[in-house]
Amino acid sequence: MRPAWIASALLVPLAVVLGPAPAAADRLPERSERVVSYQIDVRLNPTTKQIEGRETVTWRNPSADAVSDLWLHLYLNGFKNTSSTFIRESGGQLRGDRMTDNSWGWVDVTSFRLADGTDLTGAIRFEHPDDDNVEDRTVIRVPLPQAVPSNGSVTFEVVFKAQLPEVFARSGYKRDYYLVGQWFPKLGVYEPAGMRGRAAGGWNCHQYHANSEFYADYGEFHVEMTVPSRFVVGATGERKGRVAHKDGTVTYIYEQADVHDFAWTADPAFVEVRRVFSASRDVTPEEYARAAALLGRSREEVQLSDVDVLVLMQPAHMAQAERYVQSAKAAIKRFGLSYGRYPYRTLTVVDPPQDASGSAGMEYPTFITGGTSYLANFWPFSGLRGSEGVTVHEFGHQFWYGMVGNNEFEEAWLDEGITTYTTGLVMEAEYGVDTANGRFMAVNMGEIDMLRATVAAFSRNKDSIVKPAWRYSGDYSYYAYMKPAAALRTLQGYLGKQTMARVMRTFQERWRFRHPASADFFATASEVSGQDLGWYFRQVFLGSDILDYAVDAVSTRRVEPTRGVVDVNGKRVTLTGATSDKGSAAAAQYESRVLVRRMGEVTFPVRIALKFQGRPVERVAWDGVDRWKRLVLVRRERLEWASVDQDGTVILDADMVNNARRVEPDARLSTWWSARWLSGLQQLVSFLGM
Amino acid sequence: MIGRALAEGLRSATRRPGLVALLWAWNLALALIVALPFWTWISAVSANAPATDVLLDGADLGVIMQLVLADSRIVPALMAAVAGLALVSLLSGAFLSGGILEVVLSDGDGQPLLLRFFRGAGHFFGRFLRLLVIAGITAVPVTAAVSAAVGAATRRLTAGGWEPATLWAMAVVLACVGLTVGFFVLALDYARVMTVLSDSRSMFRIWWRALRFVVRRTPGVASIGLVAGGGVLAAFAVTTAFDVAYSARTAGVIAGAIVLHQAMALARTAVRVGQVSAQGLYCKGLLPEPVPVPVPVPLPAPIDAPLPAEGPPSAPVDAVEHVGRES
Repeated sequence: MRPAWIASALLVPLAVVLGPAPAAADRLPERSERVVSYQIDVRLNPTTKQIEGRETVTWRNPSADAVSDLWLHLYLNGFKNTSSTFIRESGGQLRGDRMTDNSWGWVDVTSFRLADGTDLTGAIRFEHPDDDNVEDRTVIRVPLPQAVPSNGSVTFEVVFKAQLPEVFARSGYKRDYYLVGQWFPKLGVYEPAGMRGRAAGGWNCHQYHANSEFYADYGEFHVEMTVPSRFVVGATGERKGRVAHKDGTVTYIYEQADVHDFAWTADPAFVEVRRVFSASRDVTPEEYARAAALLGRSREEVQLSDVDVLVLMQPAHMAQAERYVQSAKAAIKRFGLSYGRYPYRTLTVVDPPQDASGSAGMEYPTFITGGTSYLANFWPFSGLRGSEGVTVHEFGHQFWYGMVGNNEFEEAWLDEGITTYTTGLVMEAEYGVDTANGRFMAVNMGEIDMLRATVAAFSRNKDSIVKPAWRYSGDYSYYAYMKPAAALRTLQGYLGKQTMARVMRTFQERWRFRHPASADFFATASEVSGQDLGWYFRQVFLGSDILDYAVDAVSTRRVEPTRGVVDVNGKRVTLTGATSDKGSAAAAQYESRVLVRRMGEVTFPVRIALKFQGRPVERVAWDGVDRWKRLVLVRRERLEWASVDQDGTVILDADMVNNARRVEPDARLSTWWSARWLSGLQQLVSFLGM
Repeated sequence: MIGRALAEGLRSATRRPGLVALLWAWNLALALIVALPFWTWISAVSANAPATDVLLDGADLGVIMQLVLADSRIVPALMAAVAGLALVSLLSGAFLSGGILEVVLSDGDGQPLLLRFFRGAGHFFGRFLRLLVIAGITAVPVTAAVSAAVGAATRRLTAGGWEPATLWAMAVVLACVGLTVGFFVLALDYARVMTVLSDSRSMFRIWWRALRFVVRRTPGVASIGLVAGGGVLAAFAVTTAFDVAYSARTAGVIAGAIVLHQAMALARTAVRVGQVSAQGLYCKGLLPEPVPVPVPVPLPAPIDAPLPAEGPPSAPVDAVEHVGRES
């Protein structure tokens, strides 16, 4: 269970392919290898908040090894007691949610038998591969009496009983609302040698950590959920049947192939809102043509397909139902056009109650949870695009986590970072660059503003992006979400939109229904862009240094005209410095000096913009390697200002305020903001003091 | 009565531009003490940094964050300065109120405005300070109790998990807390008015009477408060609308905004003077007419004559026209 990121770091230089030609289009795979198959029957007891289930699992050994054991996750045991690794790491708080007295949850495997009836229950052993916490019960290993040969398979039946926690950390119940995620005993991933940089084959099955998500193999799910008839149910995949029973319960049957997880929800209060995303009506021919041109793909390769969208709304949020629908459809369209068709027939969006926000903003295959508030029904809160942002982000995970199935434990940035980056692009395209995240009263909430603010706030706490999620020094959300998003934006600025779009498309095409590592992304980017980008990935993704360039000093001064004897057109002329002197050397000129510094350790090529009075902006390229660069320019005009990254494409720059400097100070801003500050203070004094 | 008090109060403010200007200048001077360091800081970080120019168009979270992070001491320093200013404002309020009431409630005795203002301010400062402390001691636990009681009463609403009910319950708690605070703020205003009208030194008694007064005369007291509050809100809305509507890219807009902000500060001050005046008139009109106090005329007593017998006890004094001062 060696972390693959070490291998990633070593592989980067090897993976680079030089040459300017973009990669030829890869076909999007239609289906996964379907390594595993689950048939699950589960019954919900709303009185005890427990579920009882029985699963029949068939696993095919995808490696060349003979595999003598099975490793499974029991995620719900992360909530079992204060000794679990999850609770130890989280301190009972996660994603803004705090455990309650009812937040204990667990799952017991009461029986584990092979298809031939061999009882292995007694052979189950708890493992703790990530730490020395023997109290952690989130991973089990089951030795098999006979090894599973290469390409052979094993079928086993597990009977389990689980206590759902009061919603905390993605899963659980709140009154009659249930979000049942990470609930069944789930196989880890057997990684053959060579996969994600592994030297030897082995199971990858990590404990449940506070700051990490999941990793599983692709397969088929057939799940039958029995609940009291008053519940409205939604789940991963397509509903294949509904059977009512005499005892007042109903069994819902769902199926889905080519996914690696299954989640479901139930709540009597849900209001179902059904819509269809139409690949012909919701996407114009021009949009198809533009996407094909941008990506260098054929019109057929960017063709989308219809999707049934089901939004399960809380009644209090019904005023926002169409916002969910609209953003879901926009996401299906824009992610699909950019990264390939969404291949599933259904998408279910769950709107959780506000006091179950621990389950909000979560992704499962074909099934996502949004999140909003009753307040967002009303101005000024309605101006924020919270529900849209969450819906687009979680749908984005269908591509980065769902279909490109990275290991979220070890390389969380591959799903969270890429999803944050691509979500920003979709939000900007759909809602405008300045108002991508909405507008609160008079303040625009742009995506780039948000990224810049986050980079400014957190970049000084140094850590690297490529790292197991539970080993970050802190600020998991910065290193897994925001820094990679800012780094990819910066890369986009460097490569250009078209090349970057093709990098992302190719990565999706190559790794759909597979498990890539960071090195695979780096190699794809270098190959598609036709240049060795190892220097960038080493510094920004594997290193922990910061990027910061500054214009440190600017000055401009009049240069006295040349005096003395000069040769002009073969004639010797004496210049006196008077304006009547003939010859170019006598004209009034200004010498401008600009000192640009590299403040951080990361080196990055930048362009220095220079603005002289009455002239268009001049640009000078600098490789940014040295600690500083001084420009001395003689022009007829005075220098007004100098700037590095004038276009604002180096989003990763830790301090953009120092990116530019003007020669003459400007008092407008200080006057204006001081006047407003003064006015505010006067109000305070007036209120308290009269 | 309420309308008359309001109209008279507002007229009183317009008749006393000197007082309004004095208060505005006082507030400006206090605010400048904290505004000047801010100006020094923002000038230093923005004067040569074109990246900050986006702030001329409005707030930009990214730029603000970077400015603040560039000097981590600035936010704590500003917060401390604002807290200090708030404290000074409270103390200054105890001082200014006496001056305002002296000017608006007395007919003037031909003496200059400044003399009357500072005479009243100085005369009542100690008593108004005591009133402030008493009001604080009363208001804090009562407000906390109201918050707890209303919170408990609305808990049943929130228990069901129906989100609108939860938010409405929160709104009810906030409204009740706001009303309670407003009640004590108005009571403090009327306590000051009563102190000036009666020249009493018994602040506990005055505070108790003011509380009773506000409770008994809620419609009138609230009307005057609401009209004044409306005026302040209107001034705030005008400045905010201007700030949002115009980008401060040109010197003209900046100058216009500064003038408008100060005009609105002046207007707020005038509204406050009008409110205090109206409160005084309202209070005066409702309080019982002063009972003439029999003043025993001292007779020249023979050196060896027995001491005069004590006169009859005075009638209880609720209020007297304010005609003189204790030395």
